[in-house]
Amino acid sequence: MADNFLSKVRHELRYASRTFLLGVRKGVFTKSNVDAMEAVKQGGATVGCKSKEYVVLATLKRAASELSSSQQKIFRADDGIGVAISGLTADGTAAIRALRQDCTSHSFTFQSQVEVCRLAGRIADKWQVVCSQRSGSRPSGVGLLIAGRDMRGCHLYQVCPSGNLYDHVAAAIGARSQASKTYLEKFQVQMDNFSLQDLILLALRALKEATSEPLTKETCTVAVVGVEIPFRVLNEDELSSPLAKLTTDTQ
Amino acid sequence: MPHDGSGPTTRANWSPYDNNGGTVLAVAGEDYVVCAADTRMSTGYNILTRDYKKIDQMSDKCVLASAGFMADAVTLKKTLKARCTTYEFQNDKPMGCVSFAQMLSNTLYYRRFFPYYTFNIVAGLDAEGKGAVFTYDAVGSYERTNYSCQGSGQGLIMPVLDNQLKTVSPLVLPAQSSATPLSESEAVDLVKDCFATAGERDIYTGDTVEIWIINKDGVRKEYQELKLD
Repeated sequence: MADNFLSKVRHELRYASRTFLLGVRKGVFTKSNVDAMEAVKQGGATVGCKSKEYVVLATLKRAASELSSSQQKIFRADDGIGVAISGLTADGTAAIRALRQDCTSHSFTFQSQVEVCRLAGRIADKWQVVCSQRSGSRPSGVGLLIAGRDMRGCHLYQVCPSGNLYDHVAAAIGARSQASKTYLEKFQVQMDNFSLQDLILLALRALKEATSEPLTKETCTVAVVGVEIPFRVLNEDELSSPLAKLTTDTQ
Repeated sequence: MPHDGSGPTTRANWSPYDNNGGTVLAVAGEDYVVCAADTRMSTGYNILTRDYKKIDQMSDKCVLASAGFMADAVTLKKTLKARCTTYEFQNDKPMGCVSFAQMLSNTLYYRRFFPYYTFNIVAGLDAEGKGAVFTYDAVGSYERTNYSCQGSGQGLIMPVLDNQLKTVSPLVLPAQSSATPLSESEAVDLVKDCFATAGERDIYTGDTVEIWIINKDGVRKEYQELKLD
């Protein structure tokens, strides 16, 4: 456990200090990309899934130690748009700040909420520039799952540090996310018609695949957004019912 | 100024400002605040619309009512609303009334040499839940009071409010609350009477009055018809 933690810290220090080397070596951009993707893979598990009318984000809360509070992983960017992050939290907070600023200035200019694909696309483009066109800065060490609603319906986008943008019906990033992805794949067609409660259960069950510890209201966070409902993080009371169903699962 | 020597001096006749008229007022109580504005928008001797909302919600328990030049009022409100959103993201709580009042003053003074031609009143509940009214001039000088009136009907309404609501000075010792002792419904009735009064003699005030009532339960709106002339 300590070893794992130390190797993570070492990796992060190496990755964060790599900036000054970037200009010198050939093929170095690919390498630093890999470091950035690695940072995302070591982040806490984050799961997202959507139906016709709702999008749900679920994350595992992770604390640096028993004495610390857990880091916030889900952020609201606008009334209809929220983001879950996985990876270097500091990079995530910087991305959130940019997203919020983008949303506010778009609303100011156009008196309407920005389209989710446009918002996701803008941050993806920014990250692509850093990765491929600039030599002085390092890629952002965080992956984003952007959940939102707009005039075109509900959306779930994944943005990678490389600047790649993916439009998903369901996605999972972070540690042991492959297990969550495998679970979500089973429902890729049915989830389109899920009710909100079923969608929340799906997200929590997928999140459970990524951890060996039981899910409680202290260890996970769930947020919802829908065509009719603004983005919000569920409070502890709203979580108790789906979490209770989880413990009675035989799956 | 252009001067051809033979006739009177000429002057530029384009102004960046226009006065769209209208009156706004607010009254603060112990645990509520009433903010009202007429809905007439005029230019010169013409009416542009009878249905223009001059009051906008800026934050949780804080509204801004503006009279004067509506183009400036709209832009001012847009700017402040965006700042309120940013504040809420950065501080994890909605912007309070008193903070908003200071921010409006700063925003107005920033344009000291090309002002927002707006006469504003901020109304809301302060951190203790007491009614708060802040009244401004066009360049940001402001004061917290218990009641105020701005706009074209100010001269007609303010003396009525002074007559009905003026209480002991807040500077007197021992400290006494100088909030109006009127109940919420009494304050709303007074506001309706004030607009009916102003509507009689001020040509820029009329059509309807939109009345916002803010208390601990939230925000409520009422409407009162006024004369259409």
